[in-house]
Amino acid sequence: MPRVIIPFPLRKHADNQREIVIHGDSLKETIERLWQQYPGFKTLNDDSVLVSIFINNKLVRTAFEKWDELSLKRDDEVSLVIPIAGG
Amino acid sequence: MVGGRLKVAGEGEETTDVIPLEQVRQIMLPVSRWQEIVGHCRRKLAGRYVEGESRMPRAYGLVAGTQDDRILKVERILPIKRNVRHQEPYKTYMDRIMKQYAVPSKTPFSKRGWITDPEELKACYDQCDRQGLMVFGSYHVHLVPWEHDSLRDRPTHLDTVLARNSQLFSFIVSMVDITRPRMRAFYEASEEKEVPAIIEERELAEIA
Repeated sequence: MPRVIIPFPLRKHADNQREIVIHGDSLKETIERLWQQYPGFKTLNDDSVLVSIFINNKLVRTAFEKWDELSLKRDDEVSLVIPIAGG
Repeated sequence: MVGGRLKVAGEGEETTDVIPLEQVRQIMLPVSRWQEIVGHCRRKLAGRYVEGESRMPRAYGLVAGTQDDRILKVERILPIKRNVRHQEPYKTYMDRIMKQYAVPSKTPFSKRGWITDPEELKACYDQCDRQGLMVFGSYHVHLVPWEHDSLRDRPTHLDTVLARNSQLFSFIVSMVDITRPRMRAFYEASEEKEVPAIIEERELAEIA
């Protein structure tokens, strides 16, 4: 099953776990299940937040958009990163 | 989570009890780490760039370390090289946020703002995980004095908006006077959530 890697600043949403194993055949399914299990992540689904999504260390998305196009293999590793910004 | 103890683990590490960051009361900064921050900021402001670094007079990076109850100890400074503020989709995002929240200044909005490159940021997070360090903050420099804020050692409204829910400390480095840098730490860049950041050498004064 795909593993979702949570960077330190987001771990509060996941009981401070670094890695969560979630069943999902696509990125959309995996992320939706992540939200169901850890509702704190829903705050990321907001147009004021830029979320970068990596699959196996490759940046594939810079927002939660068109994610249903991406299928996942059972040993894929999904990482979420929110870029840090300032003025 | 306030009031409770949490479990945190780095890669391949056993879990350790920690207090949530919003309950931290002090940040200890070894003088060598402080000098790294100052050195990074001064180098960028002098226009000296390392390979692969965005050429701009701004400096920012990550602050990582360990936690002992309500005290954080800074152990690593990770300067960030790349700025994606002028690449899409970040440009559209930042232009919108700037227009909505930034205070006009003598620097035009188009030349203000920065966004860390997500790939570089992920590499830093992975590196800290491997070393068992928590990334608990980011730093960035303020240079230009404002009429109502001559020191610029506090977060701007824009900083606060951008750090909302980040669960990170924002370390604001004031270099309005480049010979007298100063730094203050604010949880999620909120002025109400300042925590003293103290340089760990007797000859250096407390900096916040």
